[in-house]
Amino acid sequence: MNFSRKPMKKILLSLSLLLLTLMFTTNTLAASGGLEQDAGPYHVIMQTSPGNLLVNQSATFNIIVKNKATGQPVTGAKVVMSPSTMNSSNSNSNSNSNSNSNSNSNSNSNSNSNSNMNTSGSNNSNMAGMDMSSSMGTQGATAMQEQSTMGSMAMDPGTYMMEGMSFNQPGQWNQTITITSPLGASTVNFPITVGKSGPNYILIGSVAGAVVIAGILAAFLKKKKN
Amino acid sequence: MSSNKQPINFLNYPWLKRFLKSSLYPRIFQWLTVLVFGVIMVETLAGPTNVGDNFGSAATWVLWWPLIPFFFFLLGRFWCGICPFAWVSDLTQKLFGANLKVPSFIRKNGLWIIDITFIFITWADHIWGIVESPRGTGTLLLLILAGVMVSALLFERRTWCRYLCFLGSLSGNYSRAGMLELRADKDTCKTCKTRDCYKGNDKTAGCPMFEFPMAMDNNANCNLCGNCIKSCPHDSIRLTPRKPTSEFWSMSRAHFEESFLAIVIVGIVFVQNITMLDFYPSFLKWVELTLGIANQDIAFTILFIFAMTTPVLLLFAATAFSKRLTGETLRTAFARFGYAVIPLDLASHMAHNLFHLLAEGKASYYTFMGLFGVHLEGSTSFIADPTIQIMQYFLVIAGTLGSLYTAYRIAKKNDGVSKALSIAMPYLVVILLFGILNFLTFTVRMSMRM
Repeated sequence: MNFSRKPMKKILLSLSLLLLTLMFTTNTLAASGGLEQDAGPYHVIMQTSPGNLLVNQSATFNIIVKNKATGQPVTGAKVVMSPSTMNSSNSNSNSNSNSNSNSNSNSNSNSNSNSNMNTSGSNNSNMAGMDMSSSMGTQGATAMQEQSTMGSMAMDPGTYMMEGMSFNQPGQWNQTITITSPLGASTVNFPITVGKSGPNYILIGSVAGAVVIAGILAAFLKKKKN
Repeated sequence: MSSNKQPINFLNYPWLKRFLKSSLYPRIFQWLTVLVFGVIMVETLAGPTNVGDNFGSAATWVLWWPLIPFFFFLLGRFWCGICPFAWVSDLTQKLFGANLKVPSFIRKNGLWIIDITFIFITWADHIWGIVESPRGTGTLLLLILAGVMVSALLFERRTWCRYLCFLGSLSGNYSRAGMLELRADKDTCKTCKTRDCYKGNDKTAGCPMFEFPMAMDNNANCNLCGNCIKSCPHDSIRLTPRKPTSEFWSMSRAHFEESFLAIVIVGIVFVQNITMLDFYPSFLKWVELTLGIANQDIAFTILFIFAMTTPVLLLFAATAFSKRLTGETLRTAFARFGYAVIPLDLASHMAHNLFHLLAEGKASYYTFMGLFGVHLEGSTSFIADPTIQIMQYFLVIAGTLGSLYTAYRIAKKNDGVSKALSIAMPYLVVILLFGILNFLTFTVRMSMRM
């Protein structure tokens, strides 16, 4: 039998490169991951799925509540999500990428956390854009469900989930969360970037550009060849 | 049975031969796929962002992707012959192509490039949710389209399909276990002076996949485009049915890269199955907590690497045991026996996607009607879940038996009947383990894509 002979070094090198790429990319993702804020006695983390929120796309929000002093998860709390509000000044000028959203959140979280809590309602103009699949309260707020009590599976304690959220306009939104537990009541405000759901013309243009460049190169090579 | 009995040749049916020789084949199928592909591209790039409302996503992930392994099994790489990307490649090349020789780096490392791309795309799907996001699907298709066009602009024939398409290697492997083969009659070919099948002639282009039918002993790179049938002046080409997996029984050349992909696919299919089971989120959470990782993407990446490497290491371990009886090198024996897992890969892939096809298939119709403003709702399933589950069991058992038998036949071909069982035994144990694990994953209900 004939066997193609390739040094094992090549194989190992290729695999190592692949693994490094995967690890590097996941690390990058981790670095630009969920939004975090301190609010009163709590350390609150918000994660969305999918990470890049798009207009009219159903999303799941996970809120992880921890005791700021001890780092322990806070279970049995009442976590209420108010209707998202839209920042009108940003509504027409936001980028589509979630990484921007994350970087905004970090800068905002340090400066805004408590001061924005009470003023978010007056600062924001549009409250009609969010739909929730869960039942709403009389004020339009919705209690999030603690994940550990969902189904029969044991989940990470202190995680509260809201499914089926969607936003009807692209731009910068604010999401107010109120947490009540024996530790006390606190409100936290997260900025959310919702991207346009239309075509990504930058991507399409880049791909078309690459093909055109290859076409020019091909024409040049063809001419040279002939 | 008479030993000189001629195998059935489908080209002996005049109507089929006429059709395959006509300009309608494969063009008529290509036009259809190009049309559907155009709609899919527009929908995934600019249509609804909700996966459940997007025809592009539904057509791609609950119709095309589940059907594709069945195509490979029944018709070899026929899909590759009618693939819209192949049409784009041919057209681009005809209009603007420089027709350069394929660089030796690509020729030598094409399979590795494919292996790595395939693993990366599978991983990326779980991290970025390509399947669940119409835009993700559109981006993937757009990038593939760009790759196809760039390679067609620069290089000759279908360089992308042969050396770079991530689906190409998968389809090559799967079609080798399939039931249809195109071969040339070697005695007739020996007398041929023109070699039109490879070079082409005034009317028909040469083999787009760089194959010379006379030398072809496997299905890996034949896409049944029909060019050789059209161009052969001696009617040397045969299109014959065969026993599934029989190609591996008499295989004369083994490539480590192909075997490697085959064994990696065991892990990929396992990951695909696991991540769609109801208990997966809690399992991932358990991994996060156990490893002390606060990020689920990193936890998944670790799981993914574990799932990819474990089957490879197990097969290496089986090879290490087996080679003591044969005296072969580890690499050589691994390359030869790696093919034995392909029937199980194919069957598991079919079984996994059977659920999406039969439990979600109607979503394609609903979303298609949505293109015309008709809003339809209702169950997306064609048949009840328990029936699908029984079919999945049947497929996995058949695939496991196919792989076990293939491993035995490979050993028998190379080392004789007397030693075959003892040489194959370590592989049989590993394959049985893979089969049981796959079977177990199908006992739990999967979640839907749409």
